[in-house]
Amino acid sequence: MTLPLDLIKKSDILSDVHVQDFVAIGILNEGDIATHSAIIMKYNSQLFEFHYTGRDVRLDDLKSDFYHKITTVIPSFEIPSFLKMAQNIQRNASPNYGCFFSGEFYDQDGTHFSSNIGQYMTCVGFCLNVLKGFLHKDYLQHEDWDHSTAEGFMDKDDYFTFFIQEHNLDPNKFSKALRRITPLEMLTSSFFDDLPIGKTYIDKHKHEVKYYLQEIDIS
Amino acid sequence: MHYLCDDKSLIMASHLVITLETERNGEAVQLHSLSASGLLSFTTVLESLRKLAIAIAGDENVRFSIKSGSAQAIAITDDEVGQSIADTLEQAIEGEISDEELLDPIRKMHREIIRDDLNYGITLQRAGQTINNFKTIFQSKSRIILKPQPGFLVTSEVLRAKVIAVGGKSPNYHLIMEDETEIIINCSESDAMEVNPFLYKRINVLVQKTSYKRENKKDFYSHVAVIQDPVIIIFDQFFSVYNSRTDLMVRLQMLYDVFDQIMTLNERKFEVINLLLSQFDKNDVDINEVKTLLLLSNGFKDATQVQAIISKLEQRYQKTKIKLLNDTTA
Repeated sequence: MTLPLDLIKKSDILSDVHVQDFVAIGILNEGDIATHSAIIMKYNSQLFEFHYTGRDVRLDDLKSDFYHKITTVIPSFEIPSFLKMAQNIQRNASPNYGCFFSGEFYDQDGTHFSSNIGQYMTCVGFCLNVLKGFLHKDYLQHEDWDHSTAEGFMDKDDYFTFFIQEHNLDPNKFSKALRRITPLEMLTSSFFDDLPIGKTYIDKHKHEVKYYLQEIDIS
Repeated sequence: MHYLCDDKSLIMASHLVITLETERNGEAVQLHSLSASGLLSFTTVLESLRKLAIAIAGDENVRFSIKSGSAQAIAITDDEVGQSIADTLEQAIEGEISDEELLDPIRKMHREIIRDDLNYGITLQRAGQTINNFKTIFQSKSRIILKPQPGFLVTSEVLRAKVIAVGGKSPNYHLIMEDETEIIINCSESDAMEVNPFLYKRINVLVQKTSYKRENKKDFYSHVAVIQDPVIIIFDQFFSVYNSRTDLMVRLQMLYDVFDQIMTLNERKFEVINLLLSQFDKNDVDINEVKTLLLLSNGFKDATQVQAIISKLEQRYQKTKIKLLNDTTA
């Protein structure tokens, strides 16, 4: 099975009026590496990008050139309640940057629910926090990603030790939450809707998504 | 928003073009020599296009043009309005429009455009693209149906008035309003007993009002609860504004805000939330209202006072979602 890759669109054609309201997974590609992940939304004739930049949470009219693929886990007719939740999360959430996720989520007000690690997350982690808050279930089977996925993150051989020392945190609380889910994996997940989505599906297909992005980037 | 008065924007604008191409004999139409029936048809289309475009865009935001050669009627708007006219046409054909005034010109236009003896073309040019599947869409239905509206509307409101009678075999109580009108509220026996101590005193009640579309059928009131400060003010402000707003995003934000207000109450907040949620357990509620209420109450869905209503709303949400999913894939 290959994925219907042509459903990945560049955001500059998002203005296509025949597209109904949607929530999509968006990524920014720099060179041939997917560097950032966001939630892209269309409501009526307005387009939004909703993401954690590493500094703050932003909900803006779409302005960056995201590749995006619509996810069917949130149907078109539920966009108003999703957008309204995004607005309220934007107002209240205050994440910190860190490569951790273990099933945390934001509620409709942007209150964060975490067993151990507080609001440490990446841009992908932020998307996962938001989706879980709306769907009331995990979007990804995050346990499938183990600590080895974070090896070499931010060019650190031992990102975990670096991070714990840098922020003066309790390693016991954070060790189980260490994992890296990449923007490319996040984009690939948008082709699936059986929740939570397992890593095997994504591993099987992320390379074809990557090649596809390279191809359309050149042309 | 719309800058139709300056010429540059006209170039960028959306054009809805309806062309009478051939007449009965198959001859190409010339605007300077139309048959009587061709002229009548074309003017009907032109007038319908005018009414429709103005109903959607307003006088200020639309210009019209008639082109000779073939007979062309053109409505010129900005892209956004152009799209909304196109959407309206499609919805009308699908029987999704319940506004008679809006539907009337579309019906007239439709009747002309699908005629066998005349050949019309209809296209929308917007954002540099030409969309020309309207003819097929028009031809898919021989008749446009008005979407039936429910014959009644149920809203919740707070009444603050003096009780002048309580009781009866089918129990009710009578309120005398500030303007001296009398309202009868239907209730249960136990409600009547709760209201009874307020006889000849002022009371604050949350009620549901059923108003009927049919004229001369009187509003029907039923009792929900006797309420006290500070809930009176919260609910009074909330429902009076909520009932008057039609914008969904505004309504959803109001739900967030009223929840915030209720959560600041020192006591009985779950009772109040139960009352609020119960007002949305009815048929004409948008799925986004239900979903938002479920999001807002997810944090305390196990509280005994709200468990039952939340699970009712959850069922309503799932049922509506399945129906809407089937509608979109059908």
